Amino acid sequence: MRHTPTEKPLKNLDWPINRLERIEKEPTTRKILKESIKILILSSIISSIGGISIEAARVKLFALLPFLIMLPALNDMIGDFGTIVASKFTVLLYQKRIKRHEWWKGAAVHHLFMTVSSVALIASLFMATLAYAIAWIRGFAFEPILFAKLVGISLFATLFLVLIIFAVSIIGGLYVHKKGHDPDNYLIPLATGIADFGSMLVLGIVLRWLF
Amino acid sequence: MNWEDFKEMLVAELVSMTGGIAAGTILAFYTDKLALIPGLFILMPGFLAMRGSISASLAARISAALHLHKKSAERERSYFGKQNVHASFLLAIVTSFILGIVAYAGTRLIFNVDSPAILLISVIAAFISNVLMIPITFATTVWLFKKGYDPDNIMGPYITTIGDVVSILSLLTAIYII
Repeated sequence: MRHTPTEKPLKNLDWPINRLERIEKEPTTRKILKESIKILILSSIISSIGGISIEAARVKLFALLPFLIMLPALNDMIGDFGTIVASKFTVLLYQKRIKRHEWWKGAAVHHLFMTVSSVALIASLFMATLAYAIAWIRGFAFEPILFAKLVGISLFATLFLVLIIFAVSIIGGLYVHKKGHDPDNYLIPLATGIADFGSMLVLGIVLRWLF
Repeated sequence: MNWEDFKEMLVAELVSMTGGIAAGTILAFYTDKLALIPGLFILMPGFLAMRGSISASLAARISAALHLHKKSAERERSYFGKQNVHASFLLAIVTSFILGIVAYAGTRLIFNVDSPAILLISVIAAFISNVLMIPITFATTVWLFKKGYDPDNIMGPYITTIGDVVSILSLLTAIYII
């Protein structure tokens, strides 16, 4: 029976059975550990360094319940935007829909920026409102000024970091693509690292300044 | 603006954020316990990021294997599956230990507070979250595949949402144990 190259089973290669068994039983655990451990530790440490800023404002964070409730969601959301921007920009680069020297004139970049910014705006409003509503249910007093500050901080942190992620993705993506590497491999860890670190840093600083 | 992209991103984001807010709500219920552990806010962002990365990678590897027929949905306890589970378990324990050291060092050097408990909390919480998250990730990926869905399209937001809640619960349980 003939097989196409992709269908050809390993057992037709005339290799000894023990070699075939070794391939089937390749040390997956060791391989996964070897390939993942460095980037996992690095990205987790970067996120934790951002947490130093929050640790410095922990007393204020405990007193301002809506901010504490919002903390994990804010961290997640900006990280998600990092992944979205980096992966979509990489696709645009591969599709040659971005001109290297005049990238700011490309309609695709404008659309991506508008789409992500609009989602960021709505999502951060939703997050701040939901966080305050839950805090209110828990017995936290409703103060319009505090609510306005929460919404303002959420919007500022999100839009500011989306802008930074865009800048890094464009500059880094064009550079990495020019060097012949796959931008996804660099931009996604970089963008999520900036997002995790930046969201905690901005929230910590703003909490210390405004309250 | 691309409306299709807008709708997909917004729905995924709102789902993911609801999980984040649920995790934050759990935190808000236990502020008295959190206040007792210096360095917890240094540990937490890294711990959440670690849990998300490990679970998402595990789901992606299982999904790829299922798509490539390396492993049939009926043989989820195969050698490949076990190796992936072992690797994810070890990754979480090793990384959480290092995160514990970072949190301890940060608290000691920057805030001048000695909090060795944070090291144990990190490792115990990683162990607890492993026990919960690895079977959830594995079973959900295989179940989605069996039902004819592409796990790659669903597991990302799902894992972020569940992962945040499980991580916060694990950290709180570890604080109780300590």
